[in-house]
Order: sequence, then C-alpha cells, then structure tokens
Amino acid sequence: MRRAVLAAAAALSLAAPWHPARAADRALRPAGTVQTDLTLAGRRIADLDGDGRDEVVLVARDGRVRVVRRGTDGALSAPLGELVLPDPARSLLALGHVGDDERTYLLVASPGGIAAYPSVPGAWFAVRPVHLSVRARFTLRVGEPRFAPIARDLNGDGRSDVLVPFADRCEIWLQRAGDESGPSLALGATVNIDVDRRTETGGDALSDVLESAFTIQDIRAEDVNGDGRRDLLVADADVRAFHLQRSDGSFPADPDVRVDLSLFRDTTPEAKVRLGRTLAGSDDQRYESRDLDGDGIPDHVIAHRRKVWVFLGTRDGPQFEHPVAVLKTAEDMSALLLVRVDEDALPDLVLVRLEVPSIATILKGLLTEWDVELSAVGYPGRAVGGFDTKARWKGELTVRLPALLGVIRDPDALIRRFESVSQRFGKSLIADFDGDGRDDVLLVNDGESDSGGDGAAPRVDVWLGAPGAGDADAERVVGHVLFDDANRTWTLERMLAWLGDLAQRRAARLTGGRKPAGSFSLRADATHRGIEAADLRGDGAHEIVVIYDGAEGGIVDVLAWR
Amino acid sequence: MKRSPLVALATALLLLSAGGGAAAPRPFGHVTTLDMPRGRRAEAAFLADVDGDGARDLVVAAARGGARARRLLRVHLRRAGETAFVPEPDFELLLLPDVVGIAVADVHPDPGAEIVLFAPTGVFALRPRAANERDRYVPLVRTEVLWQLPHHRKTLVLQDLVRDVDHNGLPDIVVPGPGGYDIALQHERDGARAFEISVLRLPDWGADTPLGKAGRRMQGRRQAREMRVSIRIGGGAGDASAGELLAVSESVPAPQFVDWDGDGLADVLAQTTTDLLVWRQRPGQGFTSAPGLRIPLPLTVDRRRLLDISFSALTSDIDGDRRADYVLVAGDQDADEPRVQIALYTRARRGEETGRPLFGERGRPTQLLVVAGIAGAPALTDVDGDGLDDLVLGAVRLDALDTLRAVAGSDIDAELYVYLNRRGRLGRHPALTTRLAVPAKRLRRGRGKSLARFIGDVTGDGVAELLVRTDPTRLRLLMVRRVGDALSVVETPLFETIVPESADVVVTPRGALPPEVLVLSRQGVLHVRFGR
Repeated sequence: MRRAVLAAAAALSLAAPWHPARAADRALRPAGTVQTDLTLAGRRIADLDGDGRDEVVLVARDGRVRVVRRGTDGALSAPLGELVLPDPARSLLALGHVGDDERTYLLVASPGGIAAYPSVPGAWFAVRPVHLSVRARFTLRVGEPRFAPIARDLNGDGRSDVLVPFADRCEIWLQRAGDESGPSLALGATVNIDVDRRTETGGDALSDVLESAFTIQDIRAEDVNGDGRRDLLVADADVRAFHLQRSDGSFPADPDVRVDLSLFRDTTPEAKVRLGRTLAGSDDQRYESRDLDGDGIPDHVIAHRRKVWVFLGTRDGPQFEHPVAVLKTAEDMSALLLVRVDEDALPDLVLVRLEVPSIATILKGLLTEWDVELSAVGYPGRAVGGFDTKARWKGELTVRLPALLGVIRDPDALIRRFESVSQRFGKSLIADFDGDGRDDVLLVNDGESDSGGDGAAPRVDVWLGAPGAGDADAERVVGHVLFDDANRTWTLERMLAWLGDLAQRRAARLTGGRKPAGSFSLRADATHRGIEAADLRGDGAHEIVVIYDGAEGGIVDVLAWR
Repeated sequence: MKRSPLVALATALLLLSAGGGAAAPRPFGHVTTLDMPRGRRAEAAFLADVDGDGARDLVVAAARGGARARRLLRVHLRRAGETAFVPEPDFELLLLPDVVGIAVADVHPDPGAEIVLFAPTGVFALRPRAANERDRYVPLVRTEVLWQLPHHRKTLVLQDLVRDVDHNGLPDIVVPGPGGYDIALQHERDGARAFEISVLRLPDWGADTPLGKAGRRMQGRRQAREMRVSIRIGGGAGDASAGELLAVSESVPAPQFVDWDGDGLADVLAQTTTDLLVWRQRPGQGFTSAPGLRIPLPLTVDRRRLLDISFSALTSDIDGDRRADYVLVAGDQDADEPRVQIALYTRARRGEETGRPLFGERGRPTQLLVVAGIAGAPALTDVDGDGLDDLVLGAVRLDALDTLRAVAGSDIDAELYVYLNRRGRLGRHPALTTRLAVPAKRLRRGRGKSLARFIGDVTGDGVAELLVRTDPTRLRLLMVRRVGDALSVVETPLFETIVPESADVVVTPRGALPPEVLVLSRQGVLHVRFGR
C-alpha cells in the first residue's frame, strides 16, 4: 500500500516535459522529484540498457536496489525493480559488463560468490543473477551494501574482472569468454595487500568506545614494461612484486619480479632522533616509481638514509640489479619526492630534510608559536634517466606552528579551519547541461564562503561554455614553494590562505572568472549526499541529479537547464 | 619528606646499578623473568586461573616465524614458592588463523578453565585437554563480533569480556558487535553447561557519532591520535599514491556493568553522544533487547567535546546506596584559562527520582569541582580502603613559569590528585597531590607508555599503593599512607626496576587477590608479585 502511495506521489511530482525556450529565458529549474522510502547506502548513474538514457541506481541499507529513470513521456519514474540483495551487510557492488552483453550488470561480491544482475527492459535489475563464481567469496562485514572499485577490465578484453579483498590478500578473478555454460570467472592471481587497522578494546569509562576499523589499499594496475597491457603492482610490507600480464590476458600466480626493499641499506649509521638534528624520517626504505626518461615505462627510485638508487624500467619489466645512478647526500633525508620542478617534462628529484626542534623549542611551543626548520634540495632529471649528481635547487623554509596549548584546548577549531578551506575546493561537474554540444561547469557552493560563515544555504552554480583547462600544474607549485617563493616562513594562517587561494584559482580556471549563468539552492531540510550529472532524456543535455537523505527516506531531485 | 642518609645511599646505589642493566629488585617485589625462545616473540600476556586452583597462571600470546607467522599460546601454570613460573610453558597451543582475541574462563564441564576464542562470527571454547581434535573446539556463541580482522602476529586479550554478570558463580561472555552487545549467561544443568543469550541492541541513532546515523563517521575523534591533512601531487605510482579499495569503521560505546537499581544484579550502561542507556538485568531472564531507560545527557557531546582531552564519563556507586552514580569530567570551554570541571551526579532517594533519573530535570550536578590546568585520565577506585570509590585525576600545569622550569630542568611536571569519597561527596580539595616528573626527552619514545595507577593495598595498611612509570625505562611501586585526613606518598619506592623503553605493562585488575604486574617486551615477560 505504501509503495502504491509513493508511486502515486512520484507520478504527481513535478515532471513537466521539457519545452524549448528562448536562450534568454532559460535557467536552472526543478525537473522532477522522487521521494523514496529507502535509507540510502549508495548510488550510481549509468545507462543500464544501452538506450542512450542514463538511469539513477539507488541502493538501500537493507539491500533493496531500485532504479529511477525518465520514461518516454519524460516523467520521472517511481523507484523501479524488486531486487533485494541477500546479504546486504557483506556485499560489495560495482557496475560492469558480462561477456559480450552490452547491458550493464550489477556485480555483487558476497559470501555467496560473485553474482551479476542484468538490467532488464525498462532498465532496472533482474532479481535472478548470473552466478559468475561461487568460489570467489567475499566474507568481510561492511555494514551495508557498498560500491567499491572491484570491477575493472584489468586485461583489456572488454569484460569486467573482479577483485575480492580479504584481511591479508586480494584475489583477482578474471572473466572468461562465455561458453555453453555462460560467462564465468577464473582465479587469475592472489596478491598480498597492505591493510591499515585501528582497534580499541579497552573501556573502563562510559565515554570510551570499542572500535574496529580497517582500510584495504587498492592494488595498482599499470603497464610497467611498455607492452600496452596493464600489470599488477603489489606492496606487502617491504616487498614489491610485479605480475606481468601475458598476451592471453592472464596473470602469473607468482610475481615475475620481486624486490625486497629492506636489502637496500645505506651503511651510514642510523640517525638517532636527537633533538636539534635532522629527523631522518623513519629508518625504513622509501620507494617511488615514475617514468623518469620519457620512454613510457615506469622507473624506480629507492632511498635509505643518505643513499638513493635509481633503476630504469625495461621492456622485460622492472629490474633492481643495475642502477643507472646511485646518489649520496650529505645529510639524512626525511622525505623523497619525484616532481617536475623545471620546465621540461622530466621528473626531478627533491629531497626534504626536517630538523627536529630542540627540547627547549618544544616546551616553549606549549605556550608560544614555535618553528620547525625544513630544507630541500633538488636534482634535475636527465633524459637518459636518473638525475644530475649536482643539486641545482636549494631552499630553506620555516614552518611556524601555533602554541600547542591552544591546539590541545580546542583542536576542533583547527580542524574546522582546514575543513572550511577544503569545502572551498567544492565538488565540480563538467558536462553539457544546455545541450549545445559544449561542456559546461557546475560547482557546489556550500554557502559559507559567500556569507562569511553565516550559514547561507548551499547551492549549485552553473557556467555555460567551455571550462578552463583543468587544474594548473600542481607539481610546479611544489618547486615554487620549496625553492622560489621569496617568503620563506609559513605560518598556519599563510598555509590556510594559500590553500584558499588555490581553491579560488581552480574555480577561476574552471569558470573563466565569470559570474554563473544560473544557480539553485539545495534543500535545507535534508542532508545532500551526492550530486551527479545524468543525461536522463538521452538528448545530450545533462540534468543535475541531487540525492538527499530525508526524514522519510532518500530523495532524488532533478534540475535541468531549460 | 627528608630522606635519611641511609635511604639516600641505597637509592643512589640502586640507580647506579640500574645504569648497566636490570636493577636488582627490592625485596618487596618477587620477580620472575621468562625469556622467549629463539624465533618466538611475545605479543601479549595476561594472568588468569587456567587450572582452577585459585591461583593466576600466566598466558602469553606469541608469534613465531616472519612473514608467515603462526600465532600460539604459551600457558605457564603457577608454582608455589618464590619463583612463580618456570621458563618452559606447561603447554603450548596453536591458534587458528581466524582467531581475533582470547580470554580464559571456565565455560565447559572439563576441570579447570578453557581458552575462550573470539572469531569474527562467534565465540568458541578451546579445550586444551580434549583427547580428540574434533572435540577440541566447542561453539559457545554464534554472533557477529565487533573485531573481525585477525592479525597474523597479534592477538587481542579480551579477558574483560568474561565476567560473572548474573552472579551465579559461572563466568558469562560479553560479545560487542557492530549493533550492540550479546551477553551469553552461563548456566549449569545436570552437569552440562548452557548459554542463554541476550541481544542488547543500540538504538539506530546516536551511537557515538554526533550526527547520529552510522553512515557518516566523524573525522576527529577523542581517541584519534593524529590529524592528517594530505595533498596529493605528482604523477608517480610509488608508495605514496596508493588509493583505497575498501575502508570500514565500526564502533560501539564501551558497556559498563554496574547495579543501576540496587537489586544486586549487574545492569548494563552505555553512553552515546546524546543519551545514557540502561538495560536492567531481569532475575533469571537476562536482558531485553532495547534499553529500558534512555536518559538525555546533561551536556552536548559534539565533535568539539569529543576532541576535549579532558572529557570522560564514569559510573560507579559513589554514595554507597548500591545504585550507579555518574561522574563527568570535561574541559571548561568557556574559560579564559585552561581548567576542568568535575560534575558528580548521585541518585535521588528511592521513590523520589524524577522523569530524568540521575541528572534531574535541569541537569544540575550534586557536586561541582573545578581544577586548574589541563586534567584528565580520571579513574574511580578505592584508594583509602573504606570501600567507596575515590576519584583519581591527572593534571598538567602549563603556565609560563612551569614551562621555563621544564626547559631548564628538562622535566615536565604532572600531578596526580586523589579526591576522597566522603560518604557520597568528594572532598573539595585533593587529599593527595603528588608530583610526577616526566622527562621531556622521553616524551617521544615513551609516548603511550606512561602509567600512574593505584593498584591495591600491598602493605597491609588498607591504603592502595601507587604504581608509576613516568620515565618509560623505570617502573616503581610507591607506598601511599594515611596522614590524618590526607594521604601522602612515600618517596622511597617499595619496588623499582628498569624496563625496556618499548615494553608494555599489564596490571591485574583489582580484586580479591594481591596485585601483580607483567612487563612485556620483545625479549619476553617479566612477572612481578608484590609483597614480602
């Protein structure tokens, strides 16, 4: 009964067909609303049935999967479909392709294996899946159905492969070409992965919290031997392993190349953390990988204490036996960066040293501002790979930090300042909103920066016409800050202002510095959890889909430029 | 207090000998050292009665091997006499890979206790003496356990989760899960053991997040030890650029077992960011799923409050009426100078409680104290031996003079306060103020290793002694004695030993047995039993 009421309400919602209007009369306007009874866990935008029109996929915490779309009459539908995931607390989701089917499938990894739910005519998901594998079992508890980047075409065959993460490893299941029994997955490789975890078990106070948290790092797939096929890069403690993709799209179970970073040791005695001396980071080896010589194949840099080894990648894959260069620095390094400092396209090597403040400085820093000294040295990259042995750039910086006592008393104030700056970066969408064939820009404005923090309502602003060319070369910013900037002292205020300027410059580049062509305020009585661009009508003019958590359930608002 | 020359000389000799290695322990502490054999590393240790003889045995969770470590338990049964434990364990057990945590409790009719294993989907008993492998593991509770990721080397010690909740003499099992707590109450019938499970569910809102819903997790938490700001620059694919495949965070308030209504049964209290929740234990029937009481807290617990280093809430029977009371410690966020407020809430007389028990309609405390400086880490524990919990509080005073002194002397002054419980009201001023000097140079390495705790009476005068580790390389037991209405600390330690800087110290919970200490390091376990 309730479903019928909601369907009726949705049908009555504002869903006026689109009327072409004069350019001068066009603005960002509401184009439909759907109120659901779903406590939302996730959403995606995709053209499920390949008809050129996007749909909105909504997933609820209880496992219900529903689709909202525009019908041929232009009206927004009520949530469609009957699919309920069997184990919502242990389900990872992704949209992908199965076999040669052009339809989009909902791939679900759960304790039951990997199931693929096809979209059906009408563009929602079938309730009966295709079982791609019952052996690929995902058993971790995630609390609610989660979209995760588990489906990707690792071997370039046009079919979605699936990653299944565990507490200490990741299984890679490759989709095989379908046979008489249909499409299926085969275990391609099992790789070790890094897992960060946080655990709290003790609690003598009412205010204590018991906690279990973990983060599973993604595997990296990158062509490391220049054959055009993506290879697997795996990190497991000190070991880096490379599984090179074969021509048939398979991966070897054992890595082709394996390097134990702990074998690379600088025999200079370990720098103890003596206050007033350089902090040599930890005594762990550092590893970075990047194409240093412009041949399209990643190269590898390993650093320990004062020594840096540079290895060029080859067409046979990474090699760690013949360094093209070994650099020795005068002092211990705290951090290593591979960034472009000069105008050429080659990455340069930047070594950063952090000087640990003395006891006196730290103690005085409890009550007053205190300084941390930082120095950097840059070595230009060479076309043949490696770096010049002579440093070209040098810089010294002072980071001036606020009194610790103030931070201890009210850390939330500091966090809010950084949050305020991060909100100024805002979410941006680039899509053709007015259907003229050119990309337009949407920025989400939280309202705080305009109103001086007086709590103006958040809104979306739209600029029509080609956006500015992406983000500025962020890498060169590092070189400017470390080596060129005349002001060598960075206070917290300056850091926050700099980040704020960065946000403003980014917005100016995207918008061309113009005023928005249109704006629309977001709901004040609901929490917005996502904004997406979707071509719901299939006419090339993207609409703006805003998803909210409302008191009664998820809300889908659609805005259109018309 | 002026030391006698003899004591001063003894102390100097002790410290001199400490410079070269482990100090000769004073006769007041009996020390047993258990080194780990080659290839094994101690990861955790605790004391519990395994063989049912009433004495605490030593259980060491260890790992052997490198990258493909196997975890195991080494059980050392206690010996009579001076040496409590011998180096060779009485038995060793391999742990299955999916075991997340362990405890020891008598949960099976077999003689003695069993090893209680916590796995992601339930709790099992491991019977060390079972003849057949298939009889070795007995399922006890099938449920979702909060901690679902086993570690290849470490094992959580969850001994606090086994306790006699219904006071029938048999240990019960408390299992925190993502949505609340399962409490398995053990009964014995016809020689067999059975567990009846009560499922306590937290309301779907307010479970420790200021936003209420579990969907969004707050970024700054009181227990977070870092604030990270990251900007990703560069096109490389090194270690710094890995993304996340999956991030999961689950948490529940730590449940407290205290008698709410004075019926002699332990009830469960838990605090969210908005309410104090109470589940009353029903005689012979366990607990209901939903809390029977939901009492709005007397203050707003937002992110700012959760990041307040002083913020703590504790419960105990303060006024001796056998019903739970409440102590709130929080920084005064409106004051110009740093200071902390201590609010004590005791229960109204039976029959006179309002619609908002404990806090009253206006949320006014029974008693309010103010402490200057930055104070925190409160504890409720009986220091003076009168049977009532007193309030212990640590503080750091950070005015300019203290800072200059610290710069000159390289010590940071911390203080420990004890507010005695005078029949339901805390003394207006501390009955004990003791200075604890924290060497500044040790702050970095010894972070998280500091300890100052009242561990119980070992001298027989009824007053609890103070175990101190402000210098992470020194562990001392200090005598505390009554001086009129106040307390004082005797400077000369009853016991002192050097410990590795990275070692962890485990203290037995206060109870009927004398306190003991374990010092856990890579090399092994040092056991200390106090008393002459």
